Amino acid sequence: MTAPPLVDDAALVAASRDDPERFTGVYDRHFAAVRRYVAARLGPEAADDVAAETFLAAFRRRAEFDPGRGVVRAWLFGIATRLVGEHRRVEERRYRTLARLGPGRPEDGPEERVADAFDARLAQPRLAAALRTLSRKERDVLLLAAFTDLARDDIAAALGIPVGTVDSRLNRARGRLRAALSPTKGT
Amino acid sequence: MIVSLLDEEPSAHGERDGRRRLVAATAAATAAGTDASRDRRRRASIRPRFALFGSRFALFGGFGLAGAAAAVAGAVLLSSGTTPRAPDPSGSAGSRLMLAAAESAERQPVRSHGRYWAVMEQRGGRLAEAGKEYDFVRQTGSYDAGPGKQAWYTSRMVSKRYLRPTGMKGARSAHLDSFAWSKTLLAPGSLFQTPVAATSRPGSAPPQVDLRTLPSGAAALRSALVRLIPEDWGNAKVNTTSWLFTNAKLILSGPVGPGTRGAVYRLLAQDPSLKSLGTVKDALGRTGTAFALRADADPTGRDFQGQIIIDTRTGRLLATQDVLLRPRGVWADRKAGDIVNYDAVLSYGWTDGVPDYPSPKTS
Repeated sequence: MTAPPLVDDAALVAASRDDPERFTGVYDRHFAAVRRYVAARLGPEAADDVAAETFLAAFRRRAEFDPGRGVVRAWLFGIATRLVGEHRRVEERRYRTLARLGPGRPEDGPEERVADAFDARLAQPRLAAALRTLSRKERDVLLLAAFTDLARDDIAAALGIPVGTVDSRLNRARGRLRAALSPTKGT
Repeated sequence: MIVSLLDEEPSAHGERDGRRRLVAATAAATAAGTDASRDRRRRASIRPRFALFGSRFALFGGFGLAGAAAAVAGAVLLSSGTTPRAPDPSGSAGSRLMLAAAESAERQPVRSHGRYWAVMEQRGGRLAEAGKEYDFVRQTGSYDAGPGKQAWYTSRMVSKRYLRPTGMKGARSAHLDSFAWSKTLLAPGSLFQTPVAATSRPGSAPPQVDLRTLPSGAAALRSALVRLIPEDWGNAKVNTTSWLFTNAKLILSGPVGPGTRGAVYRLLAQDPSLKSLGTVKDALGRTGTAFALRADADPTGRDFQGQIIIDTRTGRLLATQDVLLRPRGVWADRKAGDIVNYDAVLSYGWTDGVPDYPSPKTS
């Protein structure tokens, strides 16, 4: 067990307005988690750079962080998601490449389960192919839910949308994923 | 086998590099802030040239130095796939062993019929769920009575190990947390159907082939596959070998006759990219012969080698597995040569009933 941080995230960000170097504390706490999320979406090659860019962007905009609108982690994942969006083509290429691996491991369990637990490297060809059938907004919500520990209201804060919209996008995304993964399912 | 010019683990490098960039930016901001003489102690510690460099970096930064480094690394990675290699002398041994497996498989009797074709497996891998990554071992049973008839999937988790300390919140998952057997009703016939094309139309499913329709005999199987599999699979080439290789476990343990099983081995044996890796033990410790495709033909990706392990004396498939070649990213904590995903076939054959396990509601 790790001891609780002596200064909370929001206090660190606030302190970094006057003392910019305090912001490295935010990096040390959250880099690994942000990188894992970005790596899931863009692959290991682009992940280091985009994760680093997330913290640079957050640092430049640290004065805009509003603790009343969500926790620091949600804010960071929101920035990371926007940057992933700027690399849409990288993400698209990644899914295409993974889907290209062919049908492999096609029967990875009843597909309704696959919509919640993802291959940690997203390298399930059918899953990658199915992700391509989602809209970007649906993918943002679904992959934030799968690859980060953000709760629904954190995801809402990260994306700047209402919690109800998070729920409806999540449901729609899961439904589409199941449909794409489990084609012969009657209902 | 993989040519690597990087002398350090990429993600550790990435973390340090990212931190350097951020420190440069914070130092620049601190230096700018010192004009208002906010922090005397810090001002003394900032070297002006570094700060200047830092501010330029922060302004135009982003994909500056790190981007260039990544581009170089990318070039190295890409070139590693096409580095010319000496001919592999085990190629012919690979096809000889594969042909031996074909002959063994073809000698097996046609099994008597039952209601369900059942395949019992043990699987290991790594999943991410609500931001928690865990290594798992599961046991599963696939019971399929054929197209239009019942199909059941049974499973239980054998072990689940989280990679990082995790709070109680979110540590348990709704679906994959049961260490007791349960069963799920699936779409009729679906367990032994597999896609034969990619699709990118929103919400639409790729066309499927039912394994039970695959012909026996190498020539017939080849022409059936050539007819079924489009040359352009999601903008990428998939040939019959890569399709057979990634579907090897499904077909070889599936409801097909000895002639089809033998034909799969014969088609793989004919492919020059097939090689034998010699005698190995699978994840369950069973001895068999491992086969892989040459790196440029392996659809598993350049960080992994996809392997199929066969008992060539009986022609039975023991397991398929992914062996790590480059420990990085999700697998940075493991070492090259580790088995990171496996499907080990425990048994397959006809049965008349599905065990009476509970059938929980899925959300």
